[in-house]
Amino acid sequence: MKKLSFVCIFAAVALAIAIPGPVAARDAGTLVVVQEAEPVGLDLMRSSIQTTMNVAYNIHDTLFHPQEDASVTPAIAESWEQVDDLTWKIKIRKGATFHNGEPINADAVKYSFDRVFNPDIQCPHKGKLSGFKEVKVIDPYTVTISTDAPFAPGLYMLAYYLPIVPPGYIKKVGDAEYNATPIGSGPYRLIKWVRGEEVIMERYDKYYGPKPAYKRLVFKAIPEESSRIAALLTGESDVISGIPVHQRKKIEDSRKAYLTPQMGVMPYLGINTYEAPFDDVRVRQAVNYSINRELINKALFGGKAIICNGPTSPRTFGANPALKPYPFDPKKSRELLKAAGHPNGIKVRLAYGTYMSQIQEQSEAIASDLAKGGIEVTLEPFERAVMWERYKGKKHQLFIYWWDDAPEPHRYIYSLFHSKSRDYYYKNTKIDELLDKGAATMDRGKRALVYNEIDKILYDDCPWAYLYVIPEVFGVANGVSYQGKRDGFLDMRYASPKK
Amino acid sequence: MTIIIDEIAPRLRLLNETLREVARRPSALVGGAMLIIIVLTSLSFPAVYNVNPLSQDLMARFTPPAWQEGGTVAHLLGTDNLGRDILARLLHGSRISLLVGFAAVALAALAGIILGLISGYYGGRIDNIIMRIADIFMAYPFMLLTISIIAVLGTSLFNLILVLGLSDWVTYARTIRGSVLSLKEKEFVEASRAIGTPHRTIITRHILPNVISPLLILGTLRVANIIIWESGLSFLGMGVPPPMATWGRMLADGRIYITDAWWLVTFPGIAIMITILSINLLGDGLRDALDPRLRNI
Repeated sequence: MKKLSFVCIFAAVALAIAIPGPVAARDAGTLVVVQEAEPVGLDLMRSSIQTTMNVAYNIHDTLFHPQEDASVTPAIAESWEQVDDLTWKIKIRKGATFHNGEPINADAVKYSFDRVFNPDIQCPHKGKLSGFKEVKVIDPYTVTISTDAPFAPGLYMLAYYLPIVPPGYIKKVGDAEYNATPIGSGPYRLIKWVRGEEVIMERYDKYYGPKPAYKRLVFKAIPEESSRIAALLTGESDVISGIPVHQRKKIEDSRKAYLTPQMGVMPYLGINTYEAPFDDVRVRQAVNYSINRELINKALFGGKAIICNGPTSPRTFGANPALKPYPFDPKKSRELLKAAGHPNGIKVRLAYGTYMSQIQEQSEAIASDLAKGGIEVTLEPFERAVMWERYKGKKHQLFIYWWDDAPEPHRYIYSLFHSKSRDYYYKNTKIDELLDKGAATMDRGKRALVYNEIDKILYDDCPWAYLYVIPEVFGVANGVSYQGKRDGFLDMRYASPKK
Repeated sequence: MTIIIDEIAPRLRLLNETLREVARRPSALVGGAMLIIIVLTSLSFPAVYNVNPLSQDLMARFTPPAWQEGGTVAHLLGTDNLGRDILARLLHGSRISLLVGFAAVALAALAGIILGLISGYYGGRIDNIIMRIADIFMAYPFMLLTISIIAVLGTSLFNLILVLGLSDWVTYARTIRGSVLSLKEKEFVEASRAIGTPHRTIITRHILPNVISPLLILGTLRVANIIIWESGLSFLGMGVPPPMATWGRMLADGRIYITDAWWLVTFPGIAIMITILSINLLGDGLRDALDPRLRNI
């Protein structure tokens, strides 16, 4: 009897191994995307985590499609006009529906806008939309959106952070259920979410815009980076995210997949301008002259990084085209130090977070460069929380942090340089004025000039040593055509089979 | 003069005997010889191999070892992720690893000896207090203790030695206390006490010399442990701060490149292994040699 049950178990195990899992059920119409983590929820309004938003953006749609130059094109909004500096009048596309057939109309837009500020939702994008005052319904397909003060990046912000959601469905199922089984307005509708395994979506055939090329879209999570890369190279997945710099060559050499650039990471070397020796602009310039950006780019990033001139990434709207990167000139650096009263050079501290290995590598390379320019550096590796606490406590002297190089300058230049946002290490009333002006200038051309000026002033004043932008990449299988976007989101409506 | 010779002679004889005992055990001999070679190599650097372990050559990063395709004789064991010579870093790292190992053991042993002698000899309330403190130290997870101390003091070579020394005194104190407890009941100690010798003299002249041999064994074996701990802490980014080279840090920095450049982690790994092995072999041999029951007398 015992023996028999053993045989049964053995047979069952053998059978389970022999029968192929759902992985085998792939066909040409299915696109499999593998990320670092599975989504925490599917309601776009309730998460700011990249891997979660990547999934949710395929289900949801917003009023506009954001473009790489920080402008917008029509999506749910068919057309719009600026009534005055504080108000936009938006016409909504007629005949568009949510995945359950509910119509997308002015009421839905108003409901969605109000939902962002509903305290029960705890929408993490609330702050980014706080410049807006209200949405008014004019007729079933027209709304006006108003702001408290002129807010130039307004439409661009709406294009990311105001997904249009179905009022009827949410009222019926409740907010918690909506986070698990959302009904959106996007190109794909949710079929099922098997927690811990995959999110399966299917093309929504009544979608108002161009239909996605793939009928089925599957999102999976593989936390371990080399397994993720293996999944791409074995054909188990079509698109993967989260590829560290040193693994990229492996994908390129495989000839089974290619890399496409997406969001960029922009590290910078922050300087405490409030304390000696860096209260002297010449000393800060010396730091900028002592970094061999070209060599670091070539050696560490295979020449794929974009060297920054000033604080604005060259890929961001408003970057000043007249600026040239500070050259590597240790002699000039020593001269500047001498002129500032440091004929024997200076000794300083450079802090960085230990939680990113590539930052440590860069810190060590930069420290070695700075020594050549007469700036002797003691490295200070800090754990994530300690690094941040010391940052806020103004305890760093030199420090390396990073930001993504968003297309819209307001997003990071304001956050990092306006004294109302962070005045931990630098304050400049002229910059404050210009930043306020930049946010309020509605004319795109004039607005660019304001940011050009900001770029130039900060270039000369050196509150940072400007470094480079390292484009992150997605890995894409050869059979798929997909171009990464600067926001880093995986909007799979833009993917198609390669002919 | 003669008094000093009379004092020293028997001890020298004992030392001589011990050394001969050690030499009779091949594993101890091999371990000792290896350790001497390691110490000598680390001391002779940079006289023999004059390459700066900190000088970077970014364009020459990930140069493989000389015997591999693409390697050069200029970098015998290849270069790391910033183009620094691995052999030079390895040699430089040996100094730090050994320094940390021996210094931390010396510190821990010193604290342990003093507290263990006091605790064992005087007994009573003071013994109770010291042993309860020891209990607290033993109950507290070592890593947590080290990490919290380092977080407060910051990373530096001195702090690292201090932390490792502080966390390890308990072992010595307990061992010595045990030995002292049995020794203080021995006739020669009682005799000494009977003729009115002060406590301090009894402790330093009669008891201390007799606890040296367990201490020596323990110390040797702990050096190996400390070196591993140092590697572990450096690996976690809490050891000696960069760019100073230590074996643990080399392992940590090379970890993410393990699939592309195996030599970044392999050589420091081997270095740690050989050093620990030699110290352990020597420690084992010493224990056998110093244990009268195992001696062939």
